[in-house]
Amino acid sequence: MKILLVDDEVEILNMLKRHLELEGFQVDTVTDPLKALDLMHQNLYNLVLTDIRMPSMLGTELIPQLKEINPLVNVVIMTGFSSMSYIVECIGEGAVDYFTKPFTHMENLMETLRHLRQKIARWQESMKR
Amino acid sequence: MRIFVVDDDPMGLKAISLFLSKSGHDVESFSNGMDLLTKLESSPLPDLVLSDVYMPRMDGLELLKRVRDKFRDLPVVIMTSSRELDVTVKALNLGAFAYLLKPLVMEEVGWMVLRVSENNRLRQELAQEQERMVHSQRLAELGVLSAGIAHEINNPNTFIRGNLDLLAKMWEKITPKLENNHGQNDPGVDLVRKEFPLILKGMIEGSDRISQIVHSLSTYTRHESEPKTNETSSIENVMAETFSLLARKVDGIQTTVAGIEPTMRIRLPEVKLLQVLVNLLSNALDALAGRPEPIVTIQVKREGASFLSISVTDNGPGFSPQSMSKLGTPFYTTKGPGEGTGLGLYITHQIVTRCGGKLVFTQREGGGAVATATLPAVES
Repeated sequence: MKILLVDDEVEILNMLKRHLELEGFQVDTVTDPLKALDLMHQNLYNLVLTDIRMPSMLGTELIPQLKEINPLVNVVIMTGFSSMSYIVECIGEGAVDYFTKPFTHMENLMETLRHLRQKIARWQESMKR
Repeated sequence: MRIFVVDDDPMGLKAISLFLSKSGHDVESFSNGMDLLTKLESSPLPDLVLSDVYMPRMDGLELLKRVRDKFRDLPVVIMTSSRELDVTVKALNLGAFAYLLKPLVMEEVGWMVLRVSENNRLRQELAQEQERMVHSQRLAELGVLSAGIAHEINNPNTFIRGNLDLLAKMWEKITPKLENNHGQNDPGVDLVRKEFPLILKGMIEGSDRISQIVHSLSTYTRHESEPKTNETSSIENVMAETFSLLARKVDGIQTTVAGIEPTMRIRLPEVKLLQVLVNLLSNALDALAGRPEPIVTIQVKREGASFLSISVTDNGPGFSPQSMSKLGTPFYTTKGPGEGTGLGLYITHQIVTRCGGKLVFTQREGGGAVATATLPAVES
């Protein structure tokens, strides 16, 4: 499963990348949401894990653009303390789940991703048949 | 009132001093301006200076000027005569509070003293009000600042916390190897094996504490932007939820809840009311830690048609006079490091006052504390 990580804080990207690679995921990271859109054109990601408050773009703007490039991509959002109404707005734009920083229960995030991986595998299996 | 009177005419001085002390004032009399000035420098300020105008060495106008220069807030009333209108006008221009015409009519003097006393009181109240406003403005600024800081701290804390989890995972992978490769005792390796998990645990706890503080900071500054709601919540339900949240803390403490009726509803969203109740109850429980026969009583009462009061009483140590005045100030805590952020009561206070309620702390008779939140309520 291929994952794109988007966050303007490079150390958060590094940390998450290590966690995800330990789980066996393939991970690309990017600090600029605009570059994220470029990468979306070049690669077929199963999942984008993205911050929703970045200097150059907000989650509510980024999510529809990601979806436009790849309608099947799963978007999971991460946030410090955005208001619940903003998180709901992002989910309205097509995000499937959200996590709050700091990840005091990293295992929850991993569990979600493993679950997603299984779903994708099952789906690919059924496509083959 | 404490009054200084100055007049070079001994008879006049005596008459007015006698009248004022008989009216219950604390009077000091002076025969010249220099003595009065010296006394002003060396003792607590009086509430009023009564001064004659024509005196040898230093006249009333000169004295008035000097007093106004040094003690701006000290009211000076001059005693003059109807023939000295120009002097009177000069005195008023120099900042005299008022003038009394000679020969003095004692009723008029008494009335003047009352006016000065009223004026002093109002000025003092104004000063206090100003101080309060400056204080609350500072708190508001602090709020905005804190929200920014909270944001800045949250990011690094996120990767610190995440990386600590990674280290823990990696440590799990590597420990069996440390055991296998070192059959014989190596004190250095043993030390690492013993200490490493403890160090990690300590750091994870520290990071979680940071995130707790950061989280309280962000909730405490957030509600400015929150829309007003007409939500109400059942005090019965929220009280039950409060107890289930604090079940472990309540264990071993005798608690009674009285006065709750199923129809009682508070004009606050459930989350907010929960925050208030959890805070008040957990403060009471914290105060009882390690004390013999701990008791907490929660009493709910109707206060007129549109308010309910919720009192949480404990038989703990109560408040010290110093802590009493600081309750509800952000970051003030009586708890030890790591046990409280000092924001709980502040947040509670904000929630309660913003919905039009009141939060009051009193001492319990026989020791202990009472926290009473009076909140707008409806009946369902």
